[in-house]
Amino acid sequence: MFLTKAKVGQTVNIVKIEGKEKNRRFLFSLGCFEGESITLISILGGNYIINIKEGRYAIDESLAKSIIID
Amino acid sequence: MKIALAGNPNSGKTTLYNALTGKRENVGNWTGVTVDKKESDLKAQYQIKNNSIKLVDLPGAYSIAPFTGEEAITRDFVLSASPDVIINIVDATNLSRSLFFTTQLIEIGIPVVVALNKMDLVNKKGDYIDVVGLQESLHCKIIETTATSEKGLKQLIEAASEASMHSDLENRGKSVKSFSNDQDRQKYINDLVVKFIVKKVASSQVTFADKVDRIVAHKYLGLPIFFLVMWAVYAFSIEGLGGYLSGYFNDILFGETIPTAANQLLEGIGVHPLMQALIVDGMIGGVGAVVGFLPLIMVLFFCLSLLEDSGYMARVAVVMDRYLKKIGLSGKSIIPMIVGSGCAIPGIMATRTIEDLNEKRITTILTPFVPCSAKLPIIALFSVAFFPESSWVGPSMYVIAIFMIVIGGLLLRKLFVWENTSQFIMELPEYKMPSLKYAFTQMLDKAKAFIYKASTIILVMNTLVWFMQAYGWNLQAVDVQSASILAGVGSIIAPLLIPLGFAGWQLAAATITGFIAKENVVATFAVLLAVGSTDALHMPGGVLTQFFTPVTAYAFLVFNLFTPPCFAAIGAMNSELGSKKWLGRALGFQFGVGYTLALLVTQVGTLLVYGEFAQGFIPAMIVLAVVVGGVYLGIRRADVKRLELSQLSEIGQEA
Amino acid sequence: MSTIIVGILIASLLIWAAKRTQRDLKNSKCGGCSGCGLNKQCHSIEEAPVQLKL
Repeated sequence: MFLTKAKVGQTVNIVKIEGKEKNRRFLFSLGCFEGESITLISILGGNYIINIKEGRYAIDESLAKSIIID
Repeated sequence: MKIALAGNPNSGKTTLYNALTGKRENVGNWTGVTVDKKESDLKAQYQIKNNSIKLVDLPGAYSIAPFTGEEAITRDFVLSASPDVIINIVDATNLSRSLFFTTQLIEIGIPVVVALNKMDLVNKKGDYIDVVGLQESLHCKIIETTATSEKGLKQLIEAASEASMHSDLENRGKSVKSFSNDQDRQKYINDLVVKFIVKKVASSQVTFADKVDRIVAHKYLGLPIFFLVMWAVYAFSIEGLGGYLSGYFNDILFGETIPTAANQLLEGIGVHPLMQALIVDGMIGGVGAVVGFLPLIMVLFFCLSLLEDSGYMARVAVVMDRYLKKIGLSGKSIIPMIVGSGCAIPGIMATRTIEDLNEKRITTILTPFVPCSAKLPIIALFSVAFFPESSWVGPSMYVIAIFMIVIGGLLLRKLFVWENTSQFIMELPEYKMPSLKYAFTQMLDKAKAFIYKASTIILVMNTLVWFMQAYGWNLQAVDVQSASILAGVGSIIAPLLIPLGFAGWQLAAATITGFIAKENVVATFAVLLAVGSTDALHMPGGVLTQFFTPVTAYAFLVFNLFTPPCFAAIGAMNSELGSKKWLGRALGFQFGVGYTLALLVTQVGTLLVYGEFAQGFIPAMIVLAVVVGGVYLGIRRADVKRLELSQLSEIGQEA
Repeated sequence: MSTIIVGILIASLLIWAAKRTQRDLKNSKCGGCSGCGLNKQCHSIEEAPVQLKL
């Protein structure tokens, strides 16, 4: 399922990153790729605040939908 | 010896660079912008004897993009700077991400020394990093630093200098791990992190900062909080301390003390009265009227520096993303706009980070709507002269600006055919106590630049304005201003301003000089009105009230804020938009918005506040009808095009 | 006499200012903005929200 379906505060495993090659590559360099865990910190006005490794990022819904979790 | 600085964005690279060289570079890390590499000698206290050390600052990156051809570019970039050693600045609070880049750098073959920065934050959190173990695994020296308090910098330079001496390739060749693919690299890094880092609290835990985020970036609360913060900053700068000091500068220093002294001096040595008028009314009067706002600018930039330093601005981008999405932009467009609040030019240049061409164009067109610091003197002058009792006038300009950006974006989206597909991601840096020292140096820097500007472009323009108002077309000094060259030029344009309720060639003249640099609006008023009257320009109910009612004064503010920016910014727009056609569209759009908005303020405002029709009501209605009709036709045309395009794509799908 | 001396002083000041203005505008190094008259490069904000490239 999409990351958008995760619960706030939940740490989940990434199964797959979809979307443009360019975006996948970029997320990869941040440490966001299949097998890694990702935490949904909060949802703020349509943006998803996530924790990857030790960094906090805000991503928008369309990017959140390209992250597939189990 | 040359040392290159490389590291992730926001790892404290520039802070380190500034600390080591004593420079005051304030170039932020906009990744994706090809920043010129900066080079400078080390400060004397960090130099090692018999070895002059140069520091090269490289743009921040998360990776040397190993999947693409860009790899070569970044690698070449590192090599072309031909550093003897690379200092890799690593954000110790996000080691696992940073090490990805570190291992890539080590592979290049140039000796690498790691600066483990932000150690103060790590210690505060109670985390533990096994530096010695990590050092052995990576085969490169690691120095703990805290760039903000200049801790560990001496050791860092010593280590770098030592590493450069034995660029021991034989040693490195054996021990340095290289990876056939980046999946392995990430795996290796994860192992390192597990082995050498002990976290007291997992970073995925919801922290206090996250709870703060939930409030300041809240769906509904976020925007009001942002307005409140900005209102506080501007109220403090325009009405509070900054306004108070500027009042002193304007009324006492440049209003009385200096002109009186200059007059006495010049009369004493028997200078020709016209020369005296040029110096006192033209140069001192005009430049003084602008420089008088120096304290205001300084206080404002001090506050803004503190705000930017705290990490709040990233949250603003998150808040605004939602609204910008509605107009087909994304949070990315925020950066140019935030930068644009200082000056539109770097703001417009920052649109380079936006890849989607249309999004970039729209952002370029909308960025100058954010009131830049050059527009502040106009805002401040008019708020003091017409609205001495209310503190909402200054901040309201920013509210209108945001409002107009949204409306403008919607309009542009309707007028031009394009689709936005870009996605948005932004790192949320940790909140931190803003550095007073940094804010202070920033403030001084801005003050210097402001004075420089006042003594160059504004001085030149003012002298020109003075000559044009003192001399007629026959190059003879005139008795009354209305016979002067400036009055002649102004009168040509003045009719255009009648629907806006602005009567008088003086206003037209001020508007024209405003295109050279916005501060000139204030300076031009000072020159023009100083000649005709002895009343102070900046006094509540001063000479400006001859020309304006409070409503038309507000309209004049709006007009100057939203019409095309100064020449320099138009130049920047030209180079970013890349085509004369788009520049024409952009200027036309900006002029249309400024004109229509001022028209509405004057006509509707006068009707509401005074219960009567403003000057030029009928021409105003005609202009309004033309504008509405034009916009309607433009949207219709775009709709037709959109329809054609969608039909084309349908045909394409069927075929 | 003093008019001429003061005139020359003022004229040289203006020429200096005009030259600077012209140079700054030509290099489009923000000659026109108060944010960055002195820096070699245009200012932007340090510690600003990091713009990630997508």
